[in-house]
This record gives sequence, C-alpha cells and structure tokens, in this order.
Amino acid sequence: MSEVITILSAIVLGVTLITLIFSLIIYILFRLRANKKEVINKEVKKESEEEIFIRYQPKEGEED
Amino acid sequence: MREKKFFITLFFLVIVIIGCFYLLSFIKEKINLSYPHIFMLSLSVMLLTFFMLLLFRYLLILIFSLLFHFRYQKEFSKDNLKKVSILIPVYNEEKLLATVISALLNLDYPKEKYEIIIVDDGSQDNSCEVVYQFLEKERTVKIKFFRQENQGKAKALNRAFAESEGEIIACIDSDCVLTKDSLLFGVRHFQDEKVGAVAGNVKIWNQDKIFTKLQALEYLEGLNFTRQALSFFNKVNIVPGAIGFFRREVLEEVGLYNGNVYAEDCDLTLRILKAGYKVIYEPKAVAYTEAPENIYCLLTQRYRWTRGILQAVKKNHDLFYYHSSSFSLILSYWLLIYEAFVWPTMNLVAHLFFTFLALLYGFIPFLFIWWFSLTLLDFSSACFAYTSDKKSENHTYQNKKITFFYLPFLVLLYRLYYLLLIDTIKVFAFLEEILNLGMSWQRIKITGKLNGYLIKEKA
Repeated sequence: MSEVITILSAIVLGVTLITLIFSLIIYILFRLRANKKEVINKEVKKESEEEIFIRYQPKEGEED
Repeated sequence: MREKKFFITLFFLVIVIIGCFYLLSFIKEKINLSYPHIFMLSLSVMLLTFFMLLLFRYLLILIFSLLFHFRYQKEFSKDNLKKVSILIPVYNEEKLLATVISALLNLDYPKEKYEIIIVDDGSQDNSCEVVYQFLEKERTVKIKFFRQENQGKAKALNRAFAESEGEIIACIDSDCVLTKDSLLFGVRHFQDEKVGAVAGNVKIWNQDKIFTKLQALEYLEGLNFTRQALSFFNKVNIVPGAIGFFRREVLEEVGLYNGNVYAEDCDLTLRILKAGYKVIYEPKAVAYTEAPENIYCLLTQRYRWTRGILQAVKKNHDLFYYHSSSFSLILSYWLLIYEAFVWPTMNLVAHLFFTFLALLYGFIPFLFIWWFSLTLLDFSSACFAYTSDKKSENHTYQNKKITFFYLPFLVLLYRLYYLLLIDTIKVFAFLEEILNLGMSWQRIKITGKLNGYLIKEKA
C-alpha cells in the first residue's frame, strides 16, 4: 500500500513540477507578447487621435 | 472618515505583526526550534486553516445550491411579458454573427415584444456586411444597427442602451448563441419588482477536446455552481457579459457600464447589489459560447478576468465595511475576493511548499495528500453540479458534452494540471494589478464551431 502511495505521490510531484515550470514559461511569453502589443496599441491610438484632429480642425475663416 | 478607517486598520496590522514576532520568539525559546522550522510549521498551520476554510466553503455552497434547487420554480405565467431590448456590441465577429442573429430572430418570445440593437465598435472585417444582409431581409423582429469608432465594449453597450426602448435590457456577447427559451426564462423573474438583474447560464459549445471539456467542467463546477448558491440569497456577484438581464430603471439608477474596468459586468453587478436590488441566477437561460482551444488564449482570457475582477473589487471597496448592506452581500463580496485571489494564491503556495518539502526532505506524501483531498472535494461537487445541470436542461442539441463516464478522469486532470495552471496565471495577474502594470484587451481566436448550433437545432 505504501509503495502504491509513493508511486502515486511521485506522479503527482512530477506533473506538479512540469505544470509549474510550464505556467511560468507561458506567463513570460504572455508578458513579452503583451508588452509588444501595448507598444503597437499606443502607436495606433496616437495615429487615430491625429486623424480626428485633422478632421475637426476648423478651416481658415470658419468659426471654431 | 476614510483616513480614520485607514489608520485603525494600520494600527491593528502593526499590533498583529508585533504579536506574531513576539509569538515567534516565544516558540523559539520554549520549543527550541530553528527559524526555518518555525517558518515551515507556521506555513503548515496556515495551509491547514485554509484547507478547513475551503472545506467549509464547499459544504456551504453544496447546501445552498441544494436549497436553491428546492426553491426553484419551474412553472410561470407567460402573460404580460415585458418588452425586451437585446444589446449586442460587435467587434470583428464575422465568423459567428450570422448564427448569433439568426438564433435571436427565432426566440420563443412574442416577436413584437423584443428588439435587437447591434452596435458595431469599429470592426475591420465583414461584420457590418453580415448585419446589412439581415436588415435587407423581411422579418418580424425589429433590428437597429449603429456604427461607431472603436471605443471599447462598455461604450458600445452604453450606446446600444441609449437607443433601446425595452423595459428589460438583455446584454449578450457577439460570440454567444441564445437557446430558444432563454429570453422567456430570464425575463420571467422581473415580475418581482425587487429583482434588478438576472444572470444566465453560460455553457461551452465546442466540447470536442479534453482541453475544452476541462473548461466546461470549470464553468459547471466553479462558476455556475457558486452562482446557484449565491442566488439562494439573491446576491449573485457576477452577471456574465455573455448573458445578463437588467431592469431598465435599475441601470439608469446605478449608472451604465464603466469603460475603465476590464470586468465591466462584475462592476455593474456590484453596483446593483449595493443599491439593494436582488440579483439572481436562472439556469435555464442558456447561452452557448466557444471556449479557447489553446492554452495561450485561455490564459489571456483568465488574466483579463482576474485583473478586471480586482479592478471592480477595488472600485467597490466600500463593500468591505458597507454598514447598510446585509451580511449576505458582504459574504458574496468576500467570496468574490476569495475565489479570485486568496484561494489561487494559497493553492500555489501549497504546491510550491509541498514540492519544496518533497525535493529537499523527501516528504512526497504531503503533496499527494493535498492534491488527493482537493480532488475528492472537486469530484463530489462536480457530481452534484453535473446532475443538477442535467435536471435543468430543457434542450438536447448540445455538441459532444461531458458524460458522467468521463467525469472522474476529467476531475483528476482538472486538479492536477488545469487548475494549477489557471491559479498560477491568476496570481501573476493579481501581482501585476497591484503593481499597476499596463494591459490591453486581447482578443480570443474564434473557430466558428458554434455555427453548428443552427444545424443541430433544425435536426
């Protein structure tokens, strides 16, 4: 009985270790990709704000 | 007032720290243990306490879910049905939008009593063309369609609300398909004037892989099971964005969706609860959705949910000590915090601690006992959630769903691999929210499998 528990415990330990390491790697990948996206989003936002500014800029002689 | 509370909390915190320090040196002197041993001992006591707390939580949820089912009314009057506006914010959903709208046009509800309001939030794909096709067709249900620059889900929903006329507002996600009678079941509760919102039952359609089956089990055992128990007190703490029903006056009273919070549905629900309205759960108001099919997409989704919930919790922090609110409301709020941050942290700490003990001292059985006892708890609640969900099912056209035969195998994987993965990401998301790191809304890949819903329904 104790041998069975030891084998089962070893399996649980192995899977736990693999899952912990795996989730750490996934998180690092996620963070790296998220950082990249944030930079792209910021650039896109900046561009669209400029667009709106051009569109709503009053023409010469027109009232604001 | 706020400063006073802060200083009182700080004062007690300092006393607790000094007390712990004193206790530590007392133990060290009396028992003659080294600091690492005392640390391990205290961590073991802490984990045991949390385990007891978890056991208590499972027991309470089981009891109140059972009571919810005893109280659940199957029969209801179909007279005097209220007018409903169904709001759908759309952003790049061309793959599923036709199925979503077709299902809404075929709802078992008087056609003149509901309208569909679609707001396109600056899609770059063919979503608008899909809606135009429906607008050109002859139909008996009113569809209103609006387009705006990309401003986010909350603003799109608020725009749709401004254009709506119904007494009841049903908010659904553009990748969710409603079953025929879901509207009827969701709306029936508003006969009671004190009901402010009703949470629907979100189910996973693409249960054709083990990975999506695990998510279906989480929806069943983790999310809907807890909602049933909270519904017994009329204090459901999240009305899901995928399917939720609201009373119009209540939304006007508490304010609409807040764009600054990533879990806008959780924030809105907490505000409705604070205003003193009932928020209940209707298991027969079903919406099918597609679950992420790869780990990266799933973790992105959970990361957003966790940070969003923490933002909503922070925004509604007055519920910590909300004097006029009932005990059950405070309990519901604390349960939200416990499920989203406290328990994942403790589970991760336990795994790290027991792994450390196993690798360093060879105490492997501790990790096994921890895992096995939690798996037993999961299995018992999964059995209950499965049978109660089966009872509430009034349609049979679901894809390949979890069968009872699969359940033990799924529960093993669920605790051993799936939950540990999710909890690790929850802890990272929690830390990032505390550190206030930037985040952006990341879309989840849709496979289009949910389009099979209409074929199944016709069959």
